[in-house]
Amino acid sequence: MPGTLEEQVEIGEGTELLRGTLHRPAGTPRCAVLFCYPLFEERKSSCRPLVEAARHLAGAGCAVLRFDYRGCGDGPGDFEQYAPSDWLADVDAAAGFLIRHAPAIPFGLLGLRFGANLALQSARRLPAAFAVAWEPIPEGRAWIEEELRRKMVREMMTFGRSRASRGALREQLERGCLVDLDGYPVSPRLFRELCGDVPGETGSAHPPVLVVHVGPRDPPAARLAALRDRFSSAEFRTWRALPFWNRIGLTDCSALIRTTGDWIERALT
Amino acid sequence: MTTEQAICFENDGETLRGILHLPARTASGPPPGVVFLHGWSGCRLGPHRMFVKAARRFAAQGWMCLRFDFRGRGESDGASDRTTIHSMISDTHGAIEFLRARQTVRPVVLLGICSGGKVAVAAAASDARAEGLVLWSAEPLGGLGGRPIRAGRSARVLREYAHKLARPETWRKLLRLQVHGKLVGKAILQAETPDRAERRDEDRLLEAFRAFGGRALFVYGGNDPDTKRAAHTYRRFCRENSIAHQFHEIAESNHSFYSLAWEHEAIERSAAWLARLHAWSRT
Amino acid sequence: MAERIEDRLKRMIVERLFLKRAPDEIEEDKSLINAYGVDSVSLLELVVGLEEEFGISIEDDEFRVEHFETVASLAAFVREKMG
Repeated sequence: MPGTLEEQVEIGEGTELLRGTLHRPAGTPRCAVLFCYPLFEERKSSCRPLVEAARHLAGAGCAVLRFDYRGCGDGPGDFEQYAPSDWLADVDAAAGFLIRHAPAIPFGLLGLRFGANLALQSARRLPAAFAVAWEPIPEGRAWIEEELRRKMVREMMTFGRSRASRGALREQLERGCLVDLDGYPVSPRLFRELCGDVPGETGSAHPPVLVVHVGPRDPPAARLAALRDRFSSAEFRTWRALPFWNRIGLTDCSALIRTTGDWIERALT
Repeated sequence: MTTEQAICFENDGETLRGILHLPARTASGPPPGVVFLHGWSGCRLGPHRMFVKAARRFAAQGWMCLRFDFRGRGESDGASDRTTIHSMISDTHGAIEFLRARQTVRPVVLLGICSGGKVAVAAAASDARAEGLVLWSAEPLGGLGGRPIRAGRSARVLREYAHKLARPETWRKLLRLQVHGKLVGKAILQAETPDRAERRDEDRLLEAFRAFGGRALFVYGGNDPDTKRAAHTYRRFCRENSIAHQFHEIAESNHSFYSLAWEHEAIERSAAWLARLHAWSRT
Repeated sequence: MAERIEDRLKRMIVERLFLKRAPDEIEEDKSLINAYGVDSVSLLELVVGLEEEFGISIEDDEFRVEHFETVASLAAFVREKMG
């Protein structure tokens, strides 16, 4: 985007520096947006769409910070060392960094999948003027089931049939063992925290929230109802597309990005 | 202790971004270097963060490692729909230049996964600075993909063209098709093949790869149907052209090594091979 | 007459995988992977679709590639599950 700048930044101190990119718009920014990435392989598959979203918003006058949590992406440490409580702390650190670099302007968050849950939860704690949640994950235990099902499919493609037993894997997790989810070690702490407090949840007031469901059809009614319970005045939209965070190829997310940019514009007025 | 730096460099007018892993202080002499080349629609993380883990592992062993996003991918500039294998090859040359401009690095190894492996082969064919290849589930280049490999010219003619191709200005022209296509084609290839321009270019690079004087490690998954043929044809190609090579098959692994055990085996095998390559390069 | 399971499957495949063709253009005996570009990611969408559309639950030992080879094999699998 002409006039915008991308600066590779480090957040924090010591050996656990978070790594990120700050997108600066031309001129004074109108708002600041913190991006919260998804987990597991979704981080890799959604890389380019989130970069393009950040560039679009920067072109529209927003300062945008993308960053990696500890144990994820280019972040320090190994995946199995961290859990949602650590990543919420990372969101706090990144938010603090962004607010210091873009002070006195509205601050908001945009998250994808698990990052959407972190964004929604953080929007209640931080001085957020808005939050955007692209396809937040369902309740933690249900999400683990989704990931286990993905493992079944991948094994089927590799071996002709699945070999693992979801029951056995669940039991391992319940017993406090580390489980290999296709190259991602799920620690007992990660499993416990996911199945405990559901991120992005109950509370009273919340800033303007946009929740976008991405999929071939409308979200299941129960999932929609659960989100409406937690965010009574949120706006809900559906973008009919394949889940781009799961795709092997590249997906054109320009429609989703434009819709989100327009919504943020309205939320600021 | 190793350190990591966010870096960027320019190539063909685009800003490419990445992470440079600096090794702990090593014994005397220039450090060896690895440039990581991701797959077609991937990014510098690699599948299940495999490039991050590998780079940290190799850096701990004394290797300077550069992970970057090709133009149009990840965090680099450039339109996603304009990325081509040739732009990736060009970016790879740019990455090598960046690495060597930072510091004398020797040897330089290209590590590619899937189509990044094909890019690594093609880049090494056209850049004498690449002395080693680590190829994870590498896609076949040009004629190795299914059509018969055309008979090469005499070794002398090939060495002549390989020498010319080692010059940066030659490969830049070739990649931009400014070299008289028919002349080069006629000289290197025994017969014109009525294929698309991209395929012809890959074939030319494959021919140039015959003269590769470095060493290669190929790692494939035993359950990867996509590259079983590639493993067979690369192995035959290396034997026919006296290219020092080693093949390692990870039993039962799929294409992107989707398990901690397979990932560990691929990384450790590669680390051991790199250590031997470094020792060999210092003799 | 109730819609054939094969036709429901074709509609579901086109819709859920955003295939650029009409459901009746899907040939029932053609490989979903080779002819229609279904990959592991798309297969996951298919699995979810099967469970939601047909109210079945795919057990661990039923994740077999032969079930997912063609529309015909999928239909046979669904019929078996639905009894």
